[in-house]
Amino acid sequence: MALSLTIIALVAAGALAGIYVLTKGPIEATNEANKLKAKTEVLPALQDKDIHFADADTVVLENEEKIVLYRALDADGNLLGTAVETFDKEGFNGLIKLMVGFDADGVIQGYSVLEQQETPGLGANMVKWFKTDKNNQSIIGRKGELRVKKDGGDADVDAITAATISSRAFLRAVNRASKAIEQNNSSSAQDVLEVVQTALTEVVEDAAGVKVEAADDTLKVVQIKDTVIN
Amino acid sequence: MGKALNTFTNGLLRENPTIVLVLGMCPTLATTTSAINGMSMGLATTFVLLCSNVVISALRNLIPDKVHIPAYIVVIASFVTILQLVMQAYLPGLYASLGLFIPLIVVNCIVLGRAEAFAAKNGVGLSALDGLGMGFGFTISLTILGIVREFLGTGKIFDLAIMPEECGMLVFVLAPGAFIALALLMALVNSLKK
Repeated sequence: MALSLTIIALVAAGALAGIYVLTKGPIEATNEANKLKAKTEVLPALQDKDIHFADADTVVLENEEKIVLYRALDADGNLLGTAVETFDKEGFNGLIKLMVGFDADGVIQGYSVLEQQETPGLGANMVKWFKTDKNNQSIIGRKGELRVKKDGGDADVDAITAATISSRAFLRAVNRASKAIEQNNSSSAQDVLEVVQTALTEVVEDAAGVKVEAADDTLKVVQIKDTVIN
Repeated sequence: MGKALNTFTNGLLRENPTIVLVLGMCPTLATTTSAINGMSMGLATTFVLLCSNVVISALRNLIPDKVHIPAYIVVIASFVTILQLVMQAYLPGLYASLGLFIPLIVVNCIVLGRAEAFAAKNGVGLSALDGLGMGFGFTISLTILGIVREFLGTGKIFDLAIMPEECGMLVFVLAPGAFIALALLMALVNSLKK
């Protein structure tokens, strides 16, 4: 009795192991392809340009949440835009995952919903709602913190009809992405400052010009970093 | 031949799992928010039903009576996991919309019910037919339910707009609408059968 159950379980485990090995490659490939598709999709202006995405970079926000961002660089390494993978845990039915695209100035270029379990016909409309150019509902071309109109003040994004909770969660996720971009930029500004300072000291130290070459190199670095900021 | 045909058509209407046996209500109510979701869920369940019925029927004389339930569950769970992996690899779009409900097929009472009531007592061929029949019966009723709910809720059928979305009664996409639509469908089938 125990033997037959053991044999059945063993055969089942073997079959599952086989299928797992067979499907592992395609599953990873589709996941990668989906991410790449989302990354290019959220930066529509760059779609026809010759760009590549830098390796994933993690920004830790003040509340210790981690946001992953992918920089889109041209052939010379200039920053053209950033795709940010962001999330909010308090959607109407839990986790919402988005990919939001920003240009080099931090203006929203596009977004793509990676994961959501919102109500079909209501909250699930977020997939298209916030990029439809109607009244005040689109977030494309906006910058900084966004809130739904209902929440008063200078907030002016139209929430999805009858799905304010989902809309709030969506905008919170977008705001997380904006914050990550901001924080990332200010930290690279910090980097540049340090580089400039070392460059200056070096120049002063070697006023005679022994290290002028080195200073030249650093200056180049400064220029590159500068374009990163802008 | 007559018996085979009978076994196959049994699940389609006379013993339709959703409308007559009222089994597997969780996926029925939860996944039929659109016609395509309902149909895919039905087909996924059909695949598991067919495979588990065939294997359990083939093993029916080897599985001791005392452990038959755990043995059936192991077989069913393996096929569900295989289905899940294959779907994730080759049909990622569908997996994204049904993902949560695929593992739940394991505890769908239709699958275990058919294993107990049919596959454990009949030959491989008949069990396969029974699995297919029951699966198609389940698929058809889920698809109809999905069509009704999607149409009344959002004005679309299989994502094709039939009437403007503003005319939809959203309640049909939500949980209460699932119960209302299912009840109406059952009432209709019962009145037609008389």
